[in-house]
Amino acid sequence: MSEDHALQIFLKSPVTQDMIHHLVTVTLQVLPCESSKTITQQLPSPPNSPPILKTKPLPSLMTFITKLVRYTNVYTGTLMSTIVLLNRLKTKLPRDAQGLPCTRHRIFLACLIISSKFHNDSSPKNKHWSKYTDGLFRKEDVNLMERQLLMLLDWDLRIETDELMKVWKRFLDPIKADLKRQHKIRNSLAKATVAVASSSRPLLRKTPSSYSIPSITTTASTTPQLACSRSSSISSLDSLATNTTLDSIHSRASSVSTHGNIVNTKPQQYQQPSIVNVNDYSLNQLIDSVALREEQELSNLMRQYCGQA
Amino acid sequence: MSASSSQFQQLEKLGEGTYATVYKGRNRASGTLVALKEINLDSEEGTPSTAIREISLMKELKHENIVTLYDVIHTENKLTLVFEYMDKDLKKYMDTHGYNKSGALEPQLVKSFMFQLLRGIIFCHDNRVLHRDLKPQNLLINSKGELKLGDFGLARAFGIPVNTFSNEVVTLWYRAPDVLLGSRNYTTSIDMWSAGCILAEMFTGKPLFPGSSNEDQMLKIFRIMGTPNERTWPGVTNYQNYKSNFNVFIPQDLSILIPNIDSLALNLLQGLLQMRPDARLSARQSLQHPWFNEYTGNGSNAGFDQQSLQHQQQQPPQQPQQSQQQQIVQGYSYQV
Repeated sequence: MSEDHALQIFLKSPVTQDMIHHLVTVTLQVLPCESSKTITQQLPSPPNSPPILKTKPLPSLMTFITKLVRYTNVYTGTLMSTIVLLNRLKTKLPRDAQGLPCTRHRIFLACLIISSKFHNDSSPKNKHWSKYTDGLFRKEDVNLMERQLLMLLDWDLRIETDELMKVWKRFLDPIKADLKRQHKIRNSLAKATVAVASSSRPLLRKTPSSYSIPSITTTASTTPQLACSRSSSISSLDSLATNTTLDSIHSRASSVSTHGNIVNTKPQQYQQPSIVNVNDYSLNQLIDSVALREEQELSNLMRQYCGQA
Repeated sequence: MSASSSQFQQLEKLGEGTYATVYKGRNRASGTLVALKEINLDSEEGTPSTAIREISLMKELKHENIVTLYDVIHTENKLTLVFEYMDKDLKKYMDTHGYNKSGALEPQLVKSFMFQLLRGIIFCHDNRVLHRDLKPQNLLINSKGELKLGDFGLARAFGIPVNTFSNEVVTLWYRAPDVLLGSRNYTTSIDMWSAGCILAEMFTGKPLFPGSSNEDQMLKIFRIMGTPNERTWPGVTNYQNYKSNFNVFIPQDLSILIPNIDSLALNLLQGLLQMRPDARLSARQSLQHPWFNEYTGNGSNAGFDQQSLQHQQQQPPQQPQQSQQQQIVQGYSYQV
């Protein structure tokens, strides 16, 4: 269950530098290539060096992939599925295969095009892909690399979920850990709530009213930053937003609200924007990070009061 | 999968689609007839995604009710798919074999074709492939009375979370109401609606819902199946294309529209033409339907899940018990 959940979060999260870096590593391992230096030393005699290469230096794979991602706004899932194709290609290539400096760029681009065409009902044409390479490859080059890849893979393009789970492990594990942590917080919060319920009421009613209002205003102002600086652990929680977290927060809040009007104010505050429905995604992120902070503050409070009680 | 075009002799043109032309062909070495589906490659597009999916999915789908893909010839300008040869498609078959030129088929033949169609669909769904374009033109018939699913140009693998789906799928007349309403997270039930439309069409020779646009298509469906509402279909109002001012129709009796249908077949049809995708019979459930007892060897309804018959108003009369032996229909033996 948490596997699926983590997968959903991963697929909804934006492409990160870390992901691109990993793609570079995987692509580099597909086959050894001569470095650009050795090729220029060898090149004087063979006259068929592509004219584009002369005028334009080959960008690093990192730059190349980053630009493709930025131009196409490709889905995280489509992009990261290329890992399976890249690994599959590696097993199909002869051991002693060697490439030109731009071969890896070609391999990666072809895998991305195939992944996009296979997994999505609408995807860019090859002339668009050519444009996204900033003039590095003409559409004829793109057509050729696509055809060659299909031949090398023998049209074996299907990917199973467990293959994805395996190659995405390094990204899914931190998300799963986050989910676990979140679950723990929720549990301890639930316990604390029970404890509060049995403790004295006047004390309770007093604390929250003085606390909840400022905390909402402050968190609201800090969230945009939070949403932008997507360190991997935070981003996974942010994108949770869609349903689950919100729902659970609502239900939890309402269950708490019976003990006093503390938390009662919160759900109302949250619901308002969600009705407006301006920008669902960022709004959800905002709500979610606000909620997270609230949650922490609340559990601190609980600890403070209940611990002493 | 890499033949050379010189291996095949190109014969007459069989048909022309939106992106491909199909020729009859002959394998020069073996003399076997084949169908050559030629796709001209547009240098701007590259290899069409439809062809990429059709090839990669059909390569894996080897079943007697699915047209076999023998080979692929991929050159710079042309992509040729070499398929097993079939005599005609179901549409043409109905036009030529239907009685009184109505296009309607004999009930026994309808049953045989439907049974084979469902077996092909089960195999696709078991292999996590949605066909997404089931219609008489894409069901191929050979001289032995065998029916096979063809044209997997719109087919997709499902079950992996990466995929994104469009709702511009399935030829309009065979498109499920949830897809018409804008659903993009449809699954196998999308093919089952089409199967229901095809079943009705085989009985009458006429398409059941021949809509002219997305809206008209919905209207034609609602007119017969009733306009859905939150009570009959919880959540229907949340669909993108749902309109609160849809004309309200009450469900019609399908047996009036399809006079020659028997009550068991009607029951199956009702199970397939469920508006709610999750209420629609699956291909496997359909194959277990008592209408097919003579093929499946089920003497009674014992093996049939009664719950899946919830849509039925009355218990249909039991099919007279058939011989328990394996049935041979038109020289074609079935085993479920």
